[in-house]
Amino acid sequence: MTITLDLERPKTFATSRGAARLLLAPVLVLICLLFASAPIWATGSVLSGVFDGSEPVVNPLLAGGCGETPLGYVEATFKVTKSGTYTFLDLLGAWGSVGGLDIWEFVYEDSFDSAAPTRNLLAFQENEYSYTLEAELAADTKYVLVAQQTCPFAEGTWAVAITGPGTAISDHVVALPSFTSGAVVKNGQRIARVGACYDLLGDPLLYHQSGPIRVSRNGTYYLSDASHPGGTCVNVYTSPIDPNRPSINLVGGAWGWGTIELKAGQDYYFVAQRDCYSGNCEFFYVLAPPAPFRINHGLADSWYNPETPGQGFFLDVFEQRNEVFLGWFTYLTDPPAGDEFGHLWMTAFGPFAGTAADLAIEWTGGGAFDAAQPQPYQYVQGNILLEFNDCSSGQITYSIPLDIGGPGPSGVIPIQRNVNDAVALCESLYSGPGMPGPL
Amino acid sequence: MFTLSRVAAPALALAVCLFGSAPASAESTVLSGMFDGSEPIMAALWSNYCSSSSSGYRQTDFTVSTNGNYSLQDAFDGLAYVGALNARTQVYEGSFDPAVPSQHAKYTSGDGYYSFKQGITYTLVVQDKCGNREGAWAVVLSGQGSVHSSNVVAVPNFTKGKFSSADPIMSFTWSMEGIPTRYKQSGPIRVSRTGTYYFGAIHLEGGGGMEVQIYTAPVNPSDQNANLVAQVPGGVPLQAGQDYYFVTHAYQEEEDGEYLYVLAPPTPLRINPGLSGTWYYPDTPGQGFFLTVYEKLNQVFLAWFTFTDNPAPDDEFGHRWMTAFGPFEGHSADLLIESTVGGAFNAAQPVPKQDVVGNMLLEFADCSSGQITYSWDGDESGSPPMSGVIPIRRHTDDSVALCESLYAGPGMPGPL
Repeated sequence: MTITLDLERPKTFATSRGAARLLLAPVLVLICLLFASAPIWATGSVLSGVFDGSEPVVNPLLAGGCGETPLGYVEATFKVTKSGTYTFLDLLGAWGSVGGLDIWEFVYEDSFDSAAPTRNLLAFQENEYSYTLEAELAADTKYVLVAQQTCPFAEGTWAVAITGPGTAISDHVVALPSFTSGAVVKNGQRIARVGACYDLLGDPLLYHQSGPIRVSRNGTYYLSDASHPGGTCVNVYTSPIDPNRPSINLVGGAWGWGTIELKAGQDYYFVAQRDCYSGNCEFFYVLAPPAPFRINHGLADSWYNPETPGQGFFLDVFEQRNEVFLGWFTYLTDPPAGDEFGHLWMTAFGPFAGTAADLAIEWTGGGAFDAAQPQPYQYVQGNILLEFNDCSSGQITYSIPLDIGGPGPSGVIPIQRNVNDAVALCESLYSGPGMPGPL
Repeated sequence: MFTLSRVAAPALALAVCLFGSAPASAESTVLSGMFDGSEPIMAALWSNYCSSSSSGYRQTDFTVSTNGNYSLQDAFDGLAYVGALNARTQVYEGSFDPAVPSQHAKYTSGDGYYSFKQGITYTLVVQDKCGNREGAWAVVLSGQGSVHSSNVVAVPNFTKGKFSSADPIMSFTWSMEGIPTRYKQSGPIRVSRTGTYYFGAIHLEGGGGMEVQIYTAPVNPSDQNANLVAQVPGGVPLQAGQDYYFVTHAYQEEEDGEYLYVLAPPTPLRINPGLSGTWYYPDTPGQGFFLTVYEKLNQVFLAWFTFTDNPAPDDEFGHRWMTAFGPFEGHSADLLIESTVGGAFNAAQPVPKQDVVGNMLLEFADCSSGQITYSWDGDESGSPPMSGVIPIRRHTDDSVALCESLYAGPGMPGPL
């Protein structure tokens, strides 16, 4: 019985080495006996994905948000391992002010039909301001979680925590760091409330420390309490916590929701804290990394290579369509007699994903200045790989199978902005939390 | 959607009452201006919950007509959620030096009022409270006298007044249900532009909370829902050409205090990075424009890809391209057309030659359409002088929502 419970509990209770298991077994039995009065043995799973504009749209499934414009939605099929009541929590909706994506959540049994969105509907969030819903789910039954954007221009990561008696199985389940779930020891040492856990009138808290933990990227990380019921707060330190001086080396944390700036290569110690007064000593929180850079409208600008002045590129980004349109303003190397300008321009068009775009070069000729006739001809020949490192720099790799008198049919051109005026806009358009998972 | 629920009504009254209050028999003056990116930058006057970053600031001198206590309130307080820019303000007595922002700073007394004297020039410094955004700012100075400043804006008379025993009484069903309160009705009122108008409540000493309802016909005391358009605060959609009746009522029984609210029109379109992209004229396919907006610099850079009318015999494409660069203000930009010639494909040499050959007026009607008026005197290659007007529209409307979001919110209070 005890082993069964252990297997279903958060990963902190799972030990991987036989010797350790033997040593810990009495402790685990004791812990489990202490938890016997807990009303719910909750386990947690997180389903996550990214809205990138390629989603199908349907009229808003809830009133509110940004109006009546059809909004993108994703379907995540899942099953649960045990029957019971499950809670769904929109983990990143609270981050709307810092780039997080608020979603509406709906749970359907078997399938979702966008033409008949009430068919098979099992549960939905109470209103547009809610982040949670509850649903009675049966083991090994197919369900569909539908997550819908709340505004048409909102792209970014969505993430939903599912907690209940079993775990969720889905292609959208993300693997979470094991230290983000577990339980504090009910009769363990308590520490004073400091940092994110500060409460003038609150009693000292039980805690569970994990570390050293490192993150792979510098940036803003997003902490969300996913435990059910809530009440977990997390403090983060740069050294093991001193229970007698819990403010030492404290760098930040969250009670409910919070952000923290973390640096790659630095050792951190995550200290989850609860009071256990309700009988629930389990903690479950989600740490979402900063969203990775992705092409967005803030890159629509003029770009050039400082080594080749007097020529360059203009870029337009159709963010909702995930497409890029590029104009290249340059010259013929050997213009024909009588052509004093030597002008050559070409356009390129194609889809982007993440930081790169594959473009087909379009050649347009035979028109007349500001005139409808003669109608220009156009054909596609050649291609461009457009890649960005960040909001300020990138490179263009071109292949042009035409004799335009250039240095060769292919090449690589590093590009930078003419002016960095829109860098801040670009950074704001992809900022916010990324998908929870490996740090 | 824009009506105030019964649950929210007490919150509004509370919000109104939380404003600082000015002395009785107050005279109120609205000062307003725009942050458009051309402002000088300085460190935050002070840190707040929202931002401690450096940002642009505006300063304006003002004098008062009468010695006494004055309150200073942000007219857009509480409207950030509908795109309003909230002001971080500081008053100075004498000159203001951004390098020493504490020098000559004037502070309120314990009761929250500034003590201003006639004949002294004060300086009001305004900074965006939440970063370095662009948009309108508006503050209200209320006290015993009037305020004189180049940033004073004239606001409609019906937005301020005083309840008295001569006012009619009605029991409004949305707030303090069943309690009769005095009200004033103004109308018919028309607005000049269709769009979202923004309401900011100012509380004056001696005045309690108040609410405003907007009708398309005089209010019917026996059917208060008839012809009701909206209850404010926040954003209210109004249509040009429609008659409206503004009903202001006190929030407390037999209230006889003064009231003032600020009704700001939708901010006019101004050029922003949401307009960056490709534009073209459908009647001349195969050619068009790329546009880049440098919002913080208030400059536009444009590329025109088109054709020559007289290509050389062996010129397969007949290409011509030119660029244009210049400042913008509001919804238009004056650009100089630059011709760049003599370079080589993806090569540093020969260095191209660049000349200004004409000018261009770029004007936008909205986030989806505009026009280009161009002229040049010809060039040394023999191109004749040319001029014309080209209506333009987007290649796709993908970024219209972004463009609209970047200038949304209240404009400067003033004529409606």
